[in-house]
This record gives sequence, C-alpha cells and structure tokens, in this order.
Amino acid sequence: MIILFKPWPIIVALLLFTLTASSQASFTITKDPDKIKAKIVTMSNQLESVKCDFTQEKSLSMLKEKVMSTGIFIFKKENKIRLEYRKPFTYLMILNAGKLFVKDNSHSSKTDLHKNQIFKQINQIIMDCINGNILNNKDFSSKILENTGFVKLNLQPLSDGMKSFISYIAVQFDKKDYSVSQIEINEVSGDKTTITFSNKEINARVEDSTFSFK
Amino acid sequence: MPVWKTVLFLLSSLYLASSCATKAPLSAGIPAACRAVYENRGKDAHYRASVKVAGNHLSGILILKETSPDTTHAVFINETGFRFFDILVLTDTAVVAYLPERMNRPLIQRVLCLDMQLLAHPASTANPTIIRRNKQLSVTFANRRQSTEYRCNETCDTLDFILFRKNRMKKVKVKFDGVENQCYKHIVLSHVDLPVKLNLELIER
Repeated sequence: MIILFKPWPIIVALLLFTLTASSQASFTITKDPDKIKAKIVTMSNQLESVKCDFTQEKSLSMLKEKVMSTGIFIFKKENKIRLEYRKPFTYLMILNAGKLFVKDNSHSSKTDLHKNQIFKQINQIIMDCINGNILNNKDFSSKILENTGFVKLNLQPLSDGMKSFISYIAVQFDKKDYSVSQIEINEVSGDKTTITFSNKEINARVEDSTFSFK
Repeated sequence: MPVWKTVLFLLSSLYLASSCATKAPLSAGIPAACRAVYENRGKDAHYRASVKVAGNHLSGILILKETSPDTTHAVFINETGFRFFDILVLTDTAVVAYLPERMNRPLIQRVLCLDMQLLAHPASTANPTIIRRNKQLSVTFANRRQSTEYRCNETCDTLDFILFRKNRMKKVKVKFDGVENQCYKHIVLSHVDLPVKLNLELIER
C-alpha cells in the first residue's frame, strides 16, 4: 500500500504556530510613548460602546489551579458595564450610575458601589481601561511596552490600600484599532486574573435598557 | 393488682412503646460500608457556592482540592475572581491561610475552619481546639467532636449528619446528596445557632 505524504497540514500547523508565537512575542519598552498614548486617546474619544465575548481565567498560585469563566461583556459610555457570565454557570453583573446589580439563579441584589471601596476601585480600573482614562489615573504609575501586534500598559499601584493586594495590572491594546484586548490583574498573593476580550463590536448599537436593573 | 405486677406492666409497656417508636434516624457513626466512600470523596472539586450570612448573600466558587493525601485546600473566590478565604484542612488541623482584613475575626475563622473540616472530612469525629499564633489561626481537631450522628442510604449516595453540642443541642447540619465522578454533587451546610447557610452545587469540568 502506498501512503501519500501530504505536507500541507503540517505547513498550516507550522504557520498557525508561527502567527500565534509572533502575536505573543516578548514586549519591549516603547520608544515613542506619546505617539501610542495619542492613539489610545483617539480611540477612546471615538469609542461609544463595546460588545464582545470575554474569557476570564483565575490562576490560584498555591493550588496551581485555574478557574475559567466565559460570557458577554457590554460597555456603553460613560460608565455602564454589563458582565453576563454564561459558563460555568449564569451570573449577571451590571454597573450603572454608581450602583451594582447582581443576579444569579436564585438571588438578585442592588448595592451602592461607594459601600465597597475595593470593588469600586477594581471596577473603575476596568472601566478606565476600556474608555482610555487609565492613562490619566493618578493612582498608578505606568510603563508602556509593545511588540508587533500589541501595546501593553503596565500599571503599578501607588496607594497603600491598593498596594496591599495588587502587585500590578497589565492592559493590552490591539494595534489594529487600539481597543483593549486583555486585562491582567496580578495580586500580591501570586494569584492572577486575566480577562481576554474577543469578537469585539466597536460602537455597535447598545440600548440603555441593557443596563437596567430588572 | 400487686405492686410488682404494676411495675412489670409499666416496664413491659415502656419496652413495647420504645420498640414500636420510629427507628432512630441517625447512627453514632457512618456505617462501615459507607465510611470509605465518604473518606475519599469530594476532595478535588469546584462548586458553585451560595452563602447566606445574617441576611446577606454571597456567591462564588468553592474549590476543594486535595494537595497531599492528608491535606485539602478550601478556597472561596467570587465570580470576578477575588478570594474570600483560603483554608488548609489537614486530618487533625485547619489553618486559615488567607482571610481579608475586615473578615479576619475569631468567630469567622473558627466557623470557617469547622465548616471546611466537615466538608473535607465528613467521617472524622475530631473536635476543634483553637490555637492562635499572631493573626493567623490554627484549629486543631483533637479529641472527638462533642457528638456527631449520621444517616446514610444503602447505596452511600446520600449522607446527613448533625453535629451536637455537649448539651445535645444541635450545632451544624450537613447534607451530602448524590455522587458524581467521585465528588459530592450537592451539599447543604447550615448552622443551628448562627445565621449561616452554605449551599454547594458541583460544577462539571
């Protein structure tokens, strides 16, 4: 029996591997931070809404365990966020006008974000990353890095409260449109939360009712 | 009727009444056939957790992971990934590895250690002794629990148990329901004298 050797699957696999490797290539400190900042600011000025899928990966350092969640993320200017977790179970979180609405299978609650300062700060960081205001945030010192496909903003907390549990935050922007593609929160304990955004629809029509508490 | 006959009649009646009474629902220990099952299950699982504490509702994921043959880590994180607690449960000790500053209170530490020990080692009859070193708390499960009574079904799929205080007052009630891939499917743990109720549902991975 003659077995014909078909090299194309290997070539495609190698090509895909190369492309993946290049997109994850190591980051170096940017030579022109002002130019990158300007691009991020331009993008954020044009940004009205974002609708996308997200994958959240929580790495627990002590257990060497990962907890994965996926869902839908919706943002609308100025400060409305809807996080709809679909897997491993459904869970809804809405941030609107300083209020946090949470709904799971059996329970729903509405709380004032001012009552939970740490939660408020974390959500403000995510919001600032999406709308570009993170560049002006005085609670962090920043360093801009880049590779061929992405820009990475490394943020070190300056306040003692934040320093006690966050080591640094890395925000990754896609060079194609300077939208946020990943947020990585590194905790002092060694734990890490990575939120990766995909299938982004920038400035798609999003109704205000998406953020109403029902 | 002579007195001895009356006494005999009363004793016989009492004996009959006690024999006909409903069978005691709980036994002093896990039946031998089910002991091995409950010694070895539920130690590497992710649960959807829902906790009611004094009218407040907390939800998230509870991870029970056996990191060595006699050590289980119990970690509770909320949906957005923030850790509420991290407790190390050994056969005879539980150590609070992490609790946020505002939750780091002796009563909370003690309740968490006891509850996680009940989940990790339901068949154990150890009783907690609190040892405090600086801010970290270590709970050693020496001696026997004041009293624990168990009820299993024949297939060892369900297990109910009640932890009693010394004065026979109920303290903690736990119900394990169903087994899948060597893990408990559904667990309910409730305190009788504290407004704390924990509900766990196994997450398929």
